[in-house]
Amino acid sequence: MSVFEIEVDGRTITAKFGQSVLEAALAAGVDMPHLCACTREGYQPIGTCRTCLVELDGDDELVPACRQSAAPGLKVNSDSVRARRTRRAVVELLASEMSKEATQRHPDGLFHRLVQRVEADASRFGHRPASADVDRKHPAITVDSDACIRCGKCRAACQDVQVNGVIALAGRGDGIHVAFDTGLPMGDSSCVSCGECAQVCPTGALSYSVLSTINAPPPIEHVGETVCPFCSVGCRVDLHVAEDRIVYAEGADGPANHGRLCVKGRFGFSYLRHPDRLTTPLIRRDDAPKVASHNLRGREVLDLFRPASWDEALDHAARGFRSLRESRGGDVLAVLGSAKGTNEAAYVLQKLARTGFGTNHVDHCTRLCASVPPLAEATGFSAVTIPIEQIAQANVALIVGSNPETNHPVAASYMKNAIRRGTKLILIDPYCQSMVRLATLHLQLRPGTDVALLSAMTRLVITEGLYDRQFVNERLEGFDELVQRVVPYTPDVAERICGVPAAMIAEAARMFANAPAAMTFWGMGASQHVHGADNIRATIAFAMVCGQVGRPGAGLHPLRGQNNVQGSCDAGLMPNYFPGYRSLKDTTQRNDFSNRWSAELPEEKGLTVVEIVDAIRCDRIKGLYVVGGNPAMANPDLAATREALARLDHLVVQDIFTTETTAFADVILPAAALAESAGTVTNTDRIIQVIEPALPPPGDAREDWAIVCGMASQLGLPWARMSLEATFNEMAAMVPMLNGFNWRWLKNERCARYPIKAKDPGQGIQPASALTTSHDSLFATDFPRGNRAQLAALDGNRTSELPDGRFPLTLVTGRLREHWHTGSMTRRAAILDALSPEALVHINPKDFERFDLASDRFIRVETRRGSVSVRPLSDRRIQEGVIWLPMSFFEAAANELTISKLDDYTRVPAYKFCAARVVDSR
Amino acid sequence: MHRKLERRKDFSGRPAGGDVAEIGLIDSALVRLGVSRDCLLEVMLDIRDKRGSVTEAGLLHLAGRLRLNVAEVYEVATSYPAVNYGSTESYRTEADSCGDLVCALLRDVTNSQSYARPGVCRGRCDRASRGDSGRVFDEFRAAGGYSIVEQLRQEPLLKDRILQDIGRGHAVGRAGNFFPVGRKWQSTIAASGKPVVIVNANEGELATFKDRYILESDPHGVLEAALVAALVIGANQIFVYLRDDYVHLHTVLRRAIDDVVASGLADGRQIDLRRSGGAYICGEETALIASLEGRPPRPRERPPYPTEHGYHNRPTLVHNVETFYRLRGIWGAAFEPTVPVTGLLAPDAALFSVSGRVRQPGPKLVHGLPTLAALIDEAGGICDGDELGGIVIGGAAGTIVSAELCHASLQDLLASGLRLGTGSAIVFNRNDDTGWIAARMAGFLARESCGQCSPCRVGTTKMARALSDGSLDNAALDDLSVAMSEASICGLGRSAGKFLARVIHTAPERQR
Ligand SMILES: Cc1cc2nc3c(=O)[nH]c(=O)nc-3n(C[C@H](O)[C@H](O)[C@H](O)COP(=O)(O)O)c2cc1C
Ligand code: SF4
Ligand code: SF4
Ligand code: SF4
Ligand code: FES
Repeated sequence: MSVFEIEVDGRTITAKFGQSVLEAALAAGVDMPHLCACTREGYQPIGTCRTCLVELDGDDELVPACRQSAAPGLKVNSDSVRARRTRRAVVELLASEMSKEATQRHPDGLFHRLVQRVEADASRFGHRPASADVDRKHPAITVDSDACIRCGKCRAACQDVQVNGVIALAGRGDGIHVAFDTGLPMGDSSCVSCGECAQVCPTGALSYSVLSTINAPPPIEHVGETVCPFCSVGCRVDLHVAEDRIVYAEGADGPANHGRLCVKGRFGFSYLRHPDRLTTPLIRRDDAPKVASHNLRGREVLDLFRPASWDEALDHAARGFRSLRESRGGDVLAVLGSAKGTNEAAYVLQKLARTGFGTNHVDHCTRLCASVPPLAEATGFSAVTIPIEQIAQANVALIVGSNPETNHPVAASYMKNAIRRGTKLILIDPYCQSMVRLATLHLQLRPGTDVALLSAMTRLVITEGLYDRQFVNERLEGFDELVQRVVPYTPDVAERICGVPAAMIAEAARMFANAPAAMTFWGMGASQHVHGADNIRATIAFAMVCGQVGRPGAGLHPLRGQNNVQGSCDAGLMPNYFPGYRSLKDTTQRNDFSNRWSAELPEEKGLTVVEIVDAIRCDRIKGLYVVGGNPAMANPDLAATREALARLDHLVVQDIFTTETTAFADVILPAAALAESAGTVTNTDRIIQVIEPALPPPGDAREDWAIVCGMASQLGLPWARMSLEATFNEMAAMVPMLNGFNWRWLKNERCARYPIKAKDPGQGIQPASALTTSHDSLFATDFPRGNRAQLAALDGNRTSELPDGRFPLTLVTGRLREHWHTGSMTRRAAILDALSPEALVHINPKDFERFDLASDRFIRVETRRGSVSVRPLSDRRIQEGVIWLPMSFFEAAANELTISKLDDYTRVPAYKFCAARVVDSR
Repeated sequence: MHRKLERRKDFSGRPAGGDVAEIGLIDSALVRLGVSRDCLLEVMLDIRDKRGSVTEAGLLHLAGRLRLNVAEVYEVATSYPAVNYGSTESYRTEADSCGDLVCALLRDVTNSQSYARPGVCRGRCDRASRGDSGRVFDEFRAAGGYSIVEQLRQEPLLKDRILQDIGRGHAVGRAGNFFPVGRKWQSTIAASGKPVVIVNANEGELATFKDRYILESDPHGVLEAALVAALVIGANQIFVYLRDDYVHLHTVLRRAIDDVVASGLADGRQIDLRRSGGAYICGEETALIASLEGRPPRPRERPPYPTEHGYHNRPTLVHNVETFYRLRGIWGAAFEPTVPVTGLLAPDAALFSVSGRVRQPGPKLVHGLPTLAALIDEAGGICDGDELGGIVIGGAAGTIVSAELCHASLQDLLASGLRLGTGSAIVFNRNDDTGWIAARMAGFLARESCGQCSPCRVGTTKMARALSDGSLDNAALDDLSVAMSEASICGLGRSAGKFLARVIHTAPERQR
């Protein structure tokens, strides 16, 4: 019996074991006064404000309801004369902590409402004298310390929930106060601007800067809920809208974030109303030739175009593709989608490519992070086997080539919560990232040597007999080959190759193998290499031989970049599969689709993102439809990419902004952003969430799926008028993982994790709230590909471009916490751009000195492909001989430098490795 | 619209203004004490001893070495006055005159303002009445000391008898609450986990110096009892948590511990001497435990009690120095005329710290005290020309007993609710202003509040101000006292509330 009854103020309510009296009361709708307690997931009671004191039957002292656990039969009185009197006095004392002026500056908020609620006289005990100016130095958050009542909520937010470790409650007695790091101004501190503290602060002492400017913000008209577009975690966000713009955002209680957000999710929305937004369809002017050397962006692009009506633009766009198809066949057409849109948009886009264009050359940017295909190869399943939150049940977590604190901050917060509760972290990463402080072991290997390291770990668990024999015998194939392959990799050999002490390699291997449950994560640091697939295969092989799959807390989780990577792949936005990863070649499969779509479907697998660009260069592809992608910035080797784009006979670009790519377009179609769209998106944890527009798109812009359907209609395709609902239901029928879903049910649930139990399709399926954990760690008994997983052959020996005399450094590219991808959205979000305005090349202090650099003097970073001009930053977290450049700045586009060598299997470019040099421009 | 961040984050690894010597000291302290958060306070005190204070660069280094975030370490550094974080004034512990209530009453305290912490009672209100140096290991041994430890090691069953005797003898805690000792021992034994024993020698109460006296006179008596406790409850770890200001006692205890360890009597048990962080609250048992764990000294709500979940969640037995010392009577130790402090072993003995306007202030061991006034006689009588005004009994949140009641039967006073607390007794004369005294007491409480819970943090401050400037009416004072006594987390705030209630009651016509 986990549910029982207690009595609160004469009312009988139900409570659960583990709940506090306060939680039970609030859940039952009893509005019990409280202040420092936050009932959101992850917050522990602080218990210091003392405003929640209640009387218990049989206890002669008042007790805090937030700390008192509910127990069967408990009788609670929160409204006795004694409790009320004490509470009022305590609230009056708290109110005296604010200066008079600060009280006036913050006339609303949780604390203010508590004062009114308990009928306290806020001035009875006087006020602190005003002592500090409002600190507006931090671009996102304003600190008004005179308004602080030292409740400690912000500290819990920063230390315990987000585990960013910036806020202290320093000092003692009357002098206790909120401090950042060692008492620095917030703007100078190590704050990562997640905004959690401002979200929970009850007084306004910490608040979003937009809310505390001199000009009061407009009153909020409505709150729209959407899903954050900036990574695959899938946080739900409440957008607070007034006067057709978003004033501020707060974390909503979504299945993946439970109210948490990161800096991008919270402060990165102003791009939605940026003046660069496309608001009307555009057609290229006859007098504006495409010039390969053009590297235009922003409003410059507009000069090349004239506005057009939707009818004219769609007609023009479709006509170009139709005539190319008629004259030269569907094979000269290609489609590049994006993982930023909805499942429905992805689904109709690939359907358009296959049925309207007659091509399988359809791909999207997931290619560029590509960390899943080796997983699919091993298991036959193209999604994580285990959701992030299960790290709470893992004894050990292995992270290979991922920097979640920067790229998946909310996921990282759950990892850090688990680590604080005792999960041990083994980090394999060349970079001394901030999570290192929490790692039990950090294997700081040389870039690109992952295979040797993981092979040595695999060898060790095999030779020491620590691997899971039963799992190997019953669930794996390819073990003998694996044993052969790893023979050369003794820990000592690996030490020489990777630069990681042999003893540490051994310790890590043992720790992982001996753990009752271990979870494995990998990210782009593993995949973005010419042998990226091998890095991941080696990771998977190690986890598999240790039997760390298919139990609570044991499983495999690739961490990916974009919000709908999972959904776009599931929907078939890929050249080598139909939706649901179904085979192009297999006749039954193909017939299933051609019957459903009433069209002949191409059979040969198509080209991938970078291959499409190469094919353009040799005139194999003549027409390209780009939806939400920006190859002229995102692809490796940009000069070559621009040249290719300029060669196209027909280029249609659909986007929310003019991008580097739109400069080469024939037609530009203005699209709605995710927050302005309806449909579904799928996060990394396989949770499908329904979204609705939080605000309308600007001007004439339209939702992606609607534009694609408009194009289909111009091409006379029979499905062009299908509704969103019908599209989703078709997808649910065609994509095996989604079998059992239907639109109406999902819309009601708002979110659900697949696979759902196939027995009860459609209705009465377990509600999302009851997603069971045992079910969530997949493959306890078998894999989709059969009984056994496949351990793939690999060598990991290819290198893209080794440093040499002329280019002696290794260039690694990556992301900053504040920016996303090519920066087209985040650089146009004013707060994010203020937080991180400039690309800096990070260099080890020794190299920094050796090259005699100065942090305020620009240098050129050069490779065989191009060069960019940036300022250097001395950074001891980087190894000697390695330099690191963020990829999100058009002013210094890292991909001018990167090499377009691809991994054989995943076709991902080697963004994380090429040879470079730095030249002082002095 | 937004200003761009001016200060670029520094990842170059250069210690910002760091001092090589300080970094070196930290590293060697970590070698000695072990690289764990537990030693955080001890390392900082070490640096303070050698360099006067801890700097920001030192703090960053320490955080890096212990893999803590800087904010956590900053929180610890700033919540212990003894760390003297970022201060340019040295942290003096040698001055006798402090400026707190007793010194302010008796002495010219103008020059005490030059210390880093003016006005903090140092437990020397008797002006260093230091007697002869204490009994050393060999003398203690020769007098039969530690034989109980030997017996216990040979005859494990003896511990049941000791437990019984403690229960039967009604031994109670001497930190001020008089809680039955036996109940605590039983509950640590019943709890799961490896128990820990802590000797609470923080002695931070205003004008209290009885523990200092005991430790100065007979340190091995306390260690013997702590070892017995450890043997009986099955603890392998003993901490002696000593007031930082009792500098001279550090050497005494260091030596005493070394001697016991060298003798082999403590085999299998670790005895650690740790310094407190220089605040009264450090002696509150949960705050004490927090400081041993390297966290700020902020008390924790009970339940759970430390006897079940204490130091690192292990069952933890905390007793006051005097409590431990008096337990020796249970296993047969008795009064020895050459060692006056052994008088405490008699069940009816009471130890008071008498200070103020008396001729011979100091620790006073008495038996069957008839009246409080009799204490004055023990202390050589009131100073020349003074006429008794009253006695403050029980420390900063204690009771101001009028001259008249000082002559009443102590039995009756206790029966009507007077609490002796730690046994501190501050004698004042007719001309001393009780309003001023009350305000001083309140000031002590306000200064020593840890500051975490609002009723105490704000309440003690308001109380101290109101008692000195009369800024609150009686209704407000009433509510203030209710808030503090009903809503505070620990004994400091709660007793402050009760103290205020007494002040309002006994002085209804306060001069205002
Ligand atoms: C604010 C405060 C300060 C305290 N300071 C001391 C102290 O300095 N020494 C001490 O022995 N007990 C002190 N105590 C009491 C301890 O919390 C604890 O009850 C005591 O060490 C138990 O000892 P006993 O069982 O021997 O009485 C203090 C309590 C409070 C509330
Ligand atoms: S800043 Fe806000 S949340 Fe933090 S202690 Fe002050 S009032 Fe509480
Ligand atoms: S914004 Fe986030 S990181 Fe910054 S202080 Fe607040 S909680 Fe900490
Ligand atoms: S009552 Fe005072 S000393 Fe005790 S926890 Fe609260 S603030 Fe700290
Ligand atoms: S809400 Fe319970 S003490 Fe603050």
